[in-house]
Amino acid sequence: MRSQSAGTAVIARFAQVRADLAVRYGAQSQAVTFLLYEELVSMRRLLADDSRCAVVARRVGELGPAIQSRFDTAGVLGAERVLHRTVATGPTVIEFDRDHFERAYRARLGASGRRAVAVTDRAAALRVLRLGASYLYVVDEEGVLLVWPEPRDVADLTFGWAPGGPRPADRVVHPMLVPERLRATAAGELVVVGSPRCVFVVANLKSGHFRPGSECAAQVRSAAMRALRIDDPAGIDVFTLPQATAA
Amino acid sequence: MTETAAAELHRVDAIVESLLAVDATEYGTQALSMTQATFSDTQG
Repeated sequence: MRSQSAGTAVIARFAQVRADLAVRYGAQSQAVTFLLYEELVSMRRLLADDSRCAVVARRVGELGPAIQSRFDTAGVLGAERVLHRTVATGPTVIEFDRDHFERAYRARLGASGRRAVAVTDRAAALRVLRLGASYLYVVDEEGVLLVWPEPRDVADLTFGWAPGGPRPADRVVHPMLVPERLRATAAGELVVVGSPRCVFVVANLKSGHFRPGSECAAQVRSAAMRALRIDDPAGIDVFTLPQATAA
Repeated sequence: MTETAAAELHRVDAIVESLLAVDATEYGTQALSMTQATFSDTQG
């Protein structure tokens, strides 16, 4: 009962902010989509706390389709140049352009002094990943989940690459996670939510370099299930993007 | 109110602050108002 009323209070607060954002930026705006995404992260956290909380479970069930529908209908901005290609199917393997990587990103990778981390089990993952923070990830062609060990907030990832936004020269991009082969079966952002006892994953396929199609959702879902020892696929939300609609 | 729920209510306040920070940038209002999604990185 206590968690039901607590869940209801959090849902109500999100609804209030959502209504304000809809007035200010538009009901179909990315501001509202962003807030729905953040609400899902909150609901997953509450559900990890009490898996029997019906009001929260119901809200999780509403948010997934609502967010996906917004991605499906609004579309995405097109690529300035096409620098990736599909090199295999079943599963889809996407390769980024080697010449462009060496020219644009090799030095940046070296200067970062970092490398992506392979997530192989839940304990190791929780030593690398901060619960609730967002990380760039790639699933490589072997099905290994690789994350860049630098937490980002979702607002930065959602709006930082908008037209007119900042383009820091040291910014990490997905091909830097797989510099040897430059190949991915899925790539985007993920958030691990919950506790060491119960974790959920909220992920997407928003890589602007690999542009994974919706069929790649299965790859990140299975990689995350393996890496984090999650038994139920329903514990992993994966959002896909449609093909670009405008350059 | 559970401890987790209280933390989530605080997080909503932080989210609102982060949106205000985005809105205060030169590109912010346009980015927040866009209907099309952007990628988490772009080719450059």
